[in-house]
Amino acid sequence: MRRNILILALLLLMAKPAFSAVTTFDNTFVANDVFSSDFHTRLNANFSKSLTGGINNISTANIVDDTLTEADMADEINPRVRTYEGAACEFVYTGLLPVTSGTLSTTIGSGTAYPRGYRINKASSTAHSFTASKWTYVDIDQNGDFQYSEVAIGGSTPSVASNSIRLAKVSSDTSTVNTVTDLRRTSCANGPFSAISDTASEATLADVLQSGAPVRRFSNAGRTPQGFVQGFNVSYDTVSTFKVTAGSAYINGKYRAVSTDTTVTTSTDSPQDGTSGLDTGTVTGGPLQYCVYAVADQDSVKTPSFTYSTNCTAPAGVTNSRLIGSIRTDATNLFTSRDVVTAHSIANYETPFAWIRMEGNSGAPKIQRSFNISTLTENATGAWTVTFNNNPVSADYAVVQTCGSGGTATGNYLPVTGTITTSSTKFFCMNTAGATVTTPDVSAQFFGDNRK
Amino acid sequence: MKKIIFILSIFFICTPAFAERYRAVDDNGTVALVLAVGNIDEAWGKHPLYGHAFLDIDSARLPSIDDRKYWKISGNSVIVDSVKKQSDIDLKSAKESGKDAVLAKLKISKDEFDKLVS
Repeated sequence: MRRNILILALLLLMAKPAFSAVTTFDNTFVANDVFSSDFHTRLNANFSKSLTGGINNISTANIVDDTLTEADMADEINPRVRTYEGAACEFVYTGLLPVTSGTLSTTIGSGTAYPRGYRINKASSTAHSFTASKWTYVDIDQNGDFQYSEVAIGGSTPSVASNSIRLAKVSSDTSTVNTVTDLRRTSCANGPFSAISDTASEATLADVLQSGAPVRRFSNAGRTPQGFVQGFNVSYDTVSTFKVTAGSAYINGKYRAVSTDTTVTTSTDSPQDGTSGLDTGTVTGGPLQYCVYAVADQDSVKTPSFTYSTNCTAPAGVTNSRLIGSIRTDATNLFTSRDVVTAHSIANYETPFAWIRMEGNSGAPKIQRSFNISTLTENATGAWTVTFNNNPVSADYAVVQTCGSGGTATGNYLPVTGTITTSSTKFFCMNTAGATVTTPDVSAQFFGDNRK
Repeated sequence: MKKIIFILSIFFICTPAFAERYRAVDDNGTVALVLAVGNIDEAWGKHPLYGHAFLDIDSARLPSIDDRKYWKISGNSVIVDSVKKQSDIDLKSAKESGKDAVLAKLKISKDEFDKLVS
């Protein structure tokens, strides 16, 4: 009996607490100990040690491998919830938008967001009184508190509050909340472009789209066009309107696109509402050249507006703009189709639609090189006709022709252009006596409406 | 011997390596030469002389360019219109004779006359 008691006592002394790698009991018990006067004190001391040193101090060593399940986790730390809500970045999963109101007091709706990766869930709406006649930018921070940044109406966009993500821009007049602009990022699948690259450390999609000058190095304002642009060709429409064709472009850090042509009138623009037009004043004082700009002054919209101005450096009242071309008015202040230019593309009149270099030796004409020439015909000595593979739109084209001696500074060869049709041009080389002559070296270029 | 004849016949039959191929076209009595950048038959339908009689011919088979203004299409060849050429020669000769007769009456040489009128 005595031996059993001794073994039991030794076991109690040596046993380690179940829930702590470092905690040990200070007190042990023996048979009939329950009747001792300090039994309760020793028992409570051991329980207390278990709590403070064990149960309330659980670490990895206390947890048996593969015993925690997803159901055991709170939403704030549950990877399944984060995955389901698409939280691969800082974004708003749902809700958290202010609503318009007939007064300056309104509410910000319930919802869930992930500022700085913290899952913030606002289970109910939050009331707020906005300042009159202001633009107020609403953010939510990692503690779940809303942050408000006020600017004058029309003022520059303030930075996002510290440790926050942006939710909305609230516009108020003297007594109401009249407009709410949704500025939430609601999907991590949408970019940003700066985070997308083919391979780590290589150029990002943002680098690709915002770097370089397409087609022309310099615009007619002397400025180097920057970054991606496609479409957005300036074209004459009527005497009181012009068009900008469908397209897409990088405009001062913003990406905009529109799938239909935009008709621009002689009215004044309103860039922050997305209205295209003249930057200031009226169309007067012609003939004048107006520079046309693609504008991205509206937040969180896909499409640009277009502003034109006599100022080819910067249009008035516009913050984010990119020069895309120019159009002219005549002396009666009507738009004209002459000399319409798109800064980032080559117009159909700007390059020759055909050319030829040939040896004009009688009886044996030879083509040395050509573009868009179908046939060369020697009609007689010093007289030729060319036909085109792809005809110009009309016979209103210019012919630039030379007749050369082939290197020696002798002879007289005068270029003479004959009959011009849509499909062919006849030309001659003559001497000063008016007679056609065999000519060693002849070239001709053709400039006109070169649509393909 | 047969081999020699065979080799010689090859030289006579073969055309020069760099001969151009033209379409000689009857352009109302004169011959126009058409050179196509690509296939002549594909381009011919749009040519201003489409519909005129023509003959496809290598440049090596064309007559001398000195007689260019007298070329005409005859059968499968381009030949010199000798009648037209002789007519021009006769006309030129007649003019020269008439000129010489006037100079003789003026009792000056051709060189002196040229200096007077230059």
